[in-house]
Amino acid sequence: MAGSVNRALRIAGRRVLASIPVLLIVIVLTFLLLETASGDAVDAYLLSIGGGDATVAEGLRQAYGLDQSMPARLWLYLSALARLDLGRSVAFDRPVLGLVFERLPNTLLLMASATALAFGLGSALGILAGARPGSLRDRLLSTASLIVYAIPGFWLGLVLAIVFAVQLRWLPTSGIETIASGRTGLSRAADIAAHLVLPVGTLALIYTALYLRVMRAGMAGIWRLDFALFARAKGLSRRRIVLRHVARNALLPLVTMLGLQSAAMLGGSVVIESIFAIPGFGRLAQEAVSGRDTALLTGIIIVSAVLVMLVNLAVDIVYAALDPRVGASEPGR
Amino acid sequence: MSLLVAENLGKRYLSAGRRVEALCDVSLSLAAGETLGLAGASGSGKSTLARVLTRLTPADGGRVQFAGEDWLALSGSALRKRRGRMQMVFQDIAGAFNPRATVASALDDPLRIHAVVPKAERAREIAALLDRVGVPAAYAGRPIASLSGGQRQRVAIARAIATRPALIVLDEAVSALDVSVRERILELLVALQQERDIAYLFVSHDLSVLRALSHRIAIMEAGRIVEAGPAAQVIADPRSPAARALVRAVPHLSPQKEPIDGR
Amino acid sequence: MTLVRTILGKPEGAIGLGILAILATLALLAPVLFPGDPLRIAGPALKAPFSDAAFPLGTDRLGRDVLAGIVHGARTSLFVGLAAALAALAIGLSVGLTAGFAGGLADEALMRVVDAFQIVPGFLLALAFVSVIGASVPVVVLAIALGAWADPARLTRAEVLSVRERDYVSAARVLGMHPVEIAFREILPNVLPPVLALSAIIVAAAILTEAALSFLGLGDPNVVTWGSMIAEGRNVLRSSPFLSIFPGLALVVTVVGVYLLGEGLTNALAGNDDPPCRPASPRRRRDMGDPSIRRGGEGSPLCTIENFSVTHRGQDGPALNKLDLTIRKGGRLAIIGESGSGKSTLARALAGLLPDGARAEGRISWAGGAAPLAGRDLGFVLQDPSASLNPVLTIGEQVAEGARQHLGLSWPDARSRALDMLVRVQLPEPEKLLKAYPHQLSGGQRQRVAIAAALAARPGLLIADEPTSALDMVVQAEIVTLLDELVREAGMTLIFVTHDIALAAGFADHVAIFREGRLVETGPAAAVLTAPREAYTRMLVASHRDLATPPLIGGIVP
Repeated sequence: MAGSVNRALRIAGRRVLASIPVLLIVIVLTFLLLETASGDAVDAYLLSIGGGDATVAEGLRQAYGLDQSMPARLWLYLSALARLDLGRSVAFDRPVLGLVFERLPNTLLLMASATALAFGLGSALGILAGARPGSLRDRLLSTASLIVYAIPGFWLGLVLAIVFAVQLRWLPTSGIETIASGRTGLSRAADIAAHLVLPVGTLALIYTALYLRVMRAGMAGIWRLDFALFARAKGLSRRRIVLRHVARNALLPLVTMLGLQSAAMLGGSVVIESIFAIPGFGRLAQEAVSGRDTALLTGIIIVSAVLVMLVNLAVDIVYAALDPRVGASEPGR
Repeated sequence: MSLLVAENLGKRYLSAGRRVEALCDVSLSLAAGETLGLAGASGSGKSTLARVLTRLTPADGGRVQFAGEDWLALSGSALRKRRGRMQMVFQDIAGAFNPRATVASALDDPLRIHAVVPKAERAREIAALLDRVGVPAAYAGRPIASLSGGQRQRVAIARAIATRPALIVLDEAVSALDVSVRERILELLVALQQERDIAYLFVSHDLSVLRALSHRIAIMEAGRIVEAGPAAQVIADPRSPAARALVRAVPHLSPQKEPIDGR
Repeated sequence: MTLVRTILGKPEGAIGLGILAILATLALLAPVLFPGDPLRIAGPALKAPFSDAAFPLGTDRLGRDVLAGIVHGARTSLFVGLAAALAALAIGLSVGLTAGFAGGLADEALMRVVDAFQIVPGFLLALAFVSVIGASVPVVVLAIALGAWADPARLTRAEVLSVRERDYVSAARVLGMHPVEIAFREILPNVLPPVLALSAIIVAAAILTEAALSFLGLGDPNVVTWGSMIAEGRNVLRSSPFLSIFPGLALVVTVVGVYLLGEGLTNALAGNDDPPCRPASPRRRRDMGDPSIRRGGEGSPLCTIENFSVTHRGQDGPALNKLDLTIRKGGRLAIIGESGSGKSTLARALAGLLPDGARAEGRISWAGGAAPLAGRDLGFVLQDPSASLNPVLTIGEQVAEGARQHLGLSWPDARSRALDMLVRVQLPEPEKLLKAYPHQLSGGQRQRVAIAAALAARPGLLIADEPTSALDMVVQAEIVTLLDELVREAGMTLIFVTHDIALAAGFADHVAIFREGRLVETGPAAAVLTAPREAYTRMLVASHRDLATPPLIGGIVP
């Protein structure tokens, strides 16, 4: 046991060190990208309040530090970041960090629930399909998952909203909870849960299809390997071969996929939160875009990158726990 | 006058945080037209030595004199020009040939790169090479992947002799072949050696193969040469434990049910 | 063009290609089928679908023709999807190839950039890009490509590093081929197939990303796109849901077509058709009765094979052709043959482990009636010990599981049994080995573990299919000695498949010589090998070479 803890720490340490230059690249590139915006956040703000003269604009720019040269601003930004200061959102007139942390929990709740559901259901169905590659069950599940994975998330959300919220009126159409209902504790949790069923369901459905396909493909590949034959030759029960030998190995590419998809899911949350009016991180990105709020958008991208990095780190540690060959310090005897 | 002299060759690499000495203070020599058999168990370093000598892997120390030149000091186009004098035949496994190669393209490459014959003569030279190694000329257009194992190795040998080399390194060249095919290939190699005065460095874990065509045999263990000498002598009277293990390991065709290791 | 034919050969490829061909045709012909600007007002607002022949799919809030919008929208979706994917692949391939070939610092630096683009969600990046630069089709294409190039870059680099290690690249280097020529002729063509297989997924993702961008209002406002139509329809979702549904369906069909084509492409490029080895279907299972192998004395027939043939799926000729053979109890039988002789097929047939789709005819009858159950009555050892063991489970578990299954032991009892077995196969430090993993052992040690696992439930019969062919000579001798001892001690029957006639001669009582699926000769080892009757056997004996065989050379250094 001690061995695997050591391995985990070593892997974590290496990854954190390797992440710093990557994060720097993200920050610099994002900053450079948003620099090319013609007209900045102050212009957008003035537009939204119906105009203003040059002095007002100048004053605002000075206040937000938008009047200095680009390298100077980059340096200022980096030093602010070191103090965990992500700047100030012009559109919301609040520190970015505060905004982000206010909205992040909702998105994390959405994504975590969807991932857990998709992983559980997807791997279970994938095992069912992969237990007998080429069987009728396998072909049905494979075809179904192919079609589901082809569905655009936002469209699926709309369709589900139409069916369940509008026609059947089983579930609420928008928001994360019923506003000003004054609920607390378990009742509030139940209310939030009801509001999350459709958005989580939409995301989960699509990712279930993906994880099903990955698990199934993994298993189909592993059946061809010699150790599956050797397990048969030992006369083990089918259940044991399928679960303990084949699926256990097919889990590895699936876990890798979890890490790779975390970025995509975060991106997907933008549209889902938009459709279901969830006040989350993804929605914040859309608001930043429409408000031409450079500081906010930069902050969002950087926080997303950090989030994905952390998820990947966790996934790597889990992967190392599942695969004894990773980070092994003992060479062959 | 030796064709190849290697002195104090060393090769280290890192594996899982540890330093591994794949080659340690290895010295050998090879005369023109001679076969040196290099034997050892897996992990003994014999394949690493083959790769170092053919300049596929850099050495970490030592010198090699080949055809009167400082072989390890060459690089770039100077090295590429001289490579025609030292060729290699690999073990016939998946990945030994470019999946897209045809017999003709594989033989055309060495002829073209080293301008062995003028362009107009190349097709004829290819046919001559195929004929010499016993592959029907009609096979020239076929993809190499469609040939049998024995035929593939014949093409590999044809490619190796195309540049008229002085030395060919063979790394387990017959280990993957059926026994009957193996014998024909060994006969071909011996015949070519006598015709063209080619020296062979033959790497194998099977002493019976080495006995068939080596003049001298060197035994490797843990990156070092632990024994060397005339082939008949090393096999009849092995001194080192590694040599003894290799000699004992060769199964003999005796109908009595004796334990394999001759104890 | 053979590629297209191969793709069409499979149903997925054919359907995918069909769907996309129809869509592409519609897209190209859009100005002809629906002339004029699809964004113009064509008729009365909110007409229901299928109600008017002039507007088959109805009209939207502003009276625009839905079908026209969908057909014109196909142009945008397909164009953006393909263009973005091409751009992403171009960037990804360039970066990946550079990193893979350059190595060192350049590789490190480039991979950090790839990392950076991979951790930023592609959609957010595209969002930011479009919002900053402006929404037009070329910008959208570039935005999507920026979010998508990192994956193909990483894959390309991995493939370059892998292909560079192959023997044919080494051969090219030894030939003196110029590095640039090696890169273009040897490495690049073999790197491309897996990357191309990825291209379908990139196209699909690009199409979906474009739709999402348009849906959020960030697409080009001057062209009609399916995403913007869905967004438009959202305004009247309750009353006219079809406005959002039809464009969505178009998206699904398109993406499904791309996926199917991608699968066809992958299959065509990989070309592997081996039937996977599935667990035994119920009819092959036997109930737990007495191991019938033990009944009968030494020398009595254990197994009688009559007129037995096996043809593998996809092969023309039979692997085994009308075989008649009797195997005796307690003996050691060596099945000898070269490649293609059918010896492995026979071993698998006896063990009940023929691959899926293999057709067997004829009979194999066993003493005591029932066929032996793999694991309980019969142990089976494979050729490649590196592949026989599950890399993620401990040695202890893999040796113990057979005992637990067939002897009904609890896990602690099964583990101590495993320990016994590891001792019996003469592995050092067996207690430590129980918790070790296969990758920590050498090839010879792994094969000992495999033997221990095969014999854990004390079967009466051991079938070894070329158990030493993947090992070097010294280890081979050790393993053969070990098998000899184990079989003798336990009074087991041994069937040993090999291509090495001398190896078999060392310890077999009986031999059976096979050639191209047929039995050539069989009998007591001593008799067959000293006085072979058949020409083929004589040839095998004559071709054998050991240390006593005269060498091919004169022996004097020239």
